[in-house]
Amino acid sequence: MAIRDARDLAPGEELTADICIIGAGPAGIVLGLELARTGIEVVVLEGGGEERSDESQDLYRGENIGEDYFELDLTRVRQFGGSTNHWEGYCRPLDREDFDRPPAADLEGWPFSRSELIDHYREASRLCEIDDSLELSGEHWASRVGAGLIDMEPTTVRSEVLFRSPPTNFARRYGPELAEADSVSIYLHANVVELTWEQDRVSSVRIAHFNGATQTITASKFVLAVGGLEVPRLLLVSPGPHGNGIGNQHDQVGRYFMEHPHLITPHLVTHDLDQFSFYTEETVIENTRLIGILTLSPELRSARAIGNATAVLQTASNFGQRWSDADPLGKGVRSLVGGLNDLTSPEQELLNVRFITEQVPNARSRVVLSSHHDPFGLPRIALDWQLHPIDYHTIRKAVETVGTQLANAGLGRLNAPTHGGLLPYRILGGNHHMGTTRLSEDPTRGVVDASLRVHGVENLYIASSSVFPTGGWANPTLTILALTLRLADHLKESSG
Amino acid sequence: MSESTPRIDRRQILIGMGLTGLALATWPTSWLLATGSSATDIAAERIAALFNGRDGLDGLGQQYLRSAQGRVDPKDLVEEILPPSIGLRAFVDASDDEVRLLLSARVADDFVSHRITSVEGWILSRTEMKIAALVTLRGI
Ligand SMILES: Cc1cc2nc3c(=O)[nH]c(=O)nc-3n(C[C@H](O)[C@H](O)[C@H](O)COP(=O)(O)OP(=O)(O)OC[C@H]3O[C@@H](n4cnc5c(N)ncnc54)[C@H](O)[C@@H]3O)c2cc1C
Repeated sequence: MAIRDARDLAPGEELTADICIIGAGPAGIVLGLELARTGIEVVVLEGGGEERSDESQDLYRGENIGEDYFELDLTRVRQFGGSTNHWEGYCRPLDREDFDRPPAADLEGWPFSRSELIDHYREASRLCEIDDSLELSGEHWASRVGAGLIDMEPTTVRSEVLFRSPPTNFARRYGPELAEADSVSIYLHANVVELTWEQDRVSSVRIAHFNGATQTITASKFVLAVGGLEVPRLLLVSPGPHGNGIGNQHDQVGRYFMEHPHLITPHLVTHDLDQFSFYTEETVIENTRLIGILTLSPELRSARAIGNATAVLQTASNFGQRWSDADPLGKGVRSLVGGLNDLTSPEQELLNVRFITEQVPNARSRVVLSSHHDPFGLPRIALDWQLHPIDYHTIRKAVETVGTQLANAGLGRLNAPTHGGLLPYRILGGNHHMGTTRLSEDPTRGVVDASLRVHGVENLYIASSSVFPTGGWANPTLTILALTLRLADHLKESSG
Repeated sequence: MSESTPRIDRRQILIGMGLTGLALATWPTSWLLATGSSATDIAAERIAALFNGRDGLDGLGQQYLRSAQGRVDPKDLVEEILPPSIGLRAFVDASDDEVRLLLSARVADDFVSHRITSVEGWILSRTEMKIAALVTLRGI
């Protein structure tokens, strides 16, 4: 069926379906495609339109009341295709150890191992138009193009790869196929404002329009696929059985918000930029784009009790250059390295290093409802992003380890901001919103069970990074899609 | 490179270091090398010469001198900077490239042996800090 505009529905009109998917970002679109193959009647409700609009984007505004963070309407896109209208396309599965290691002594991690997701990860890779071998070893890929790897102790720091999708825009790439499916109806400009509760289940959802009209959609099952910040919002604004939000009987909705803390060190001073080319320049092998990265070995992480992390090397931007010029000690380091290596062009010695690290789930880091409202009268969100001392420890150790290893190998000197135990550089996020309805078999410690069904609600599921119980350091979309495909299998089985 | 390297090489080194003809005439290398302290001076000069025209070492050097909390003697620095297996005279006789290699090996050894220090976030080897201090002291 074609893509429709919900603004054309009559006020008060009611729609019905077997499964109602709320949100058509990559998760909602892929779930719709999978269910379309079974003939189950599906309705997809997407708040945005085919083009970006200020009116729609404004619904995403909110407040930051914790760590410094991106404006909440700039860190996601409310448009058909969701944030893949703007994403960078970096893709990588979580590591095996991310699934196996509990994040803290008193908090469980993933209730299943990565092997359970492997086939889904492969399919997710195909959807993102990257290689589906899940081969992450730097050696494997470098040898295929005859590139050199930098030599470090593999028990400490390893060379691996990060894949890069074209980047696939899920609305453009898969929207037409979804629109053609007989059993699927897609409505754009269909902003869901409430989930209606009735005896242990969600009976319907209400959509609203800027002109005040509303409609109701009734279904046997509902799937929230509105992104990691909006999922808790929709649950919290829907009163549910206890009046404090659906699935929120244990005050868990919105908690455990995780990002991937990013730290960009101004530079790595090296005497031979060429040896880093596998890491700084994209390699294309049979249509797969990838770059080399440095990762911390699992042995090192458990020995030091730190989270997961990677270092991505980039040729220094002008910004990096200016930054380094403003740092008198950095100038001295460049002179040292230059003098010892007889370098003649000091401008060619710099790399930026971007550390992307794991944040441990912590209940104080959360999404709450703000006192401000959007044009539909819905409370906006306030994001209280909180880092735990372990997160700073992870960042420091990651920088220190990579810095020491690079120096040990005679490759360069890294500015590792660890002095005084403080980090002088700003920690950024990565536009990755995870953990706000975390997966836990224990309803007092999370919001969804292993089948991604909301605890205490018979027919409500979540397809989003909001269910990640831990987030490793890897960009989330591949894992979101793998989980979505797994959920599709579950829904297909349970629907018939 | 050995203790028996002909004197002419030492002269070339000194010329390479930019010492004036007058200085060479007044301070023949044989005389310079007759005393340990003069050889140390030459070694210090050789090290510092690698960083001629390169800015910013002062900042690192001052950090080292501040943390040393007392008078730092350039001679001690030279002794600590030189690889223990290399005699002072052999060092003085080495070519610029060899000097660089010797110092780089010393620095690499520091990293392997965890003789490292963090200065406002910069992970550096102790030898590097001493080199910076030596250059700074010579500039004073
Ligand atoms: C600048 C940027 C760069 C990024 N780069 C990468 C990267 O390199 N790699 C990576 O893995 N990830 C990246 N991401 C993150 C990635 O885009 C997200 O992980 C991914 O889009 C999440 O997919 P999703 O379907 O769960 O949610 P979204 O993409 O957020 O989609 C949610 C959909 O729900 C709709 N919606 C929201 N609320 C409602 C409502 N109330 N009613 C109806 N519909 C609603 C939205 O309009 C949207 O279409 C990036 C994000 C940004 C912003």
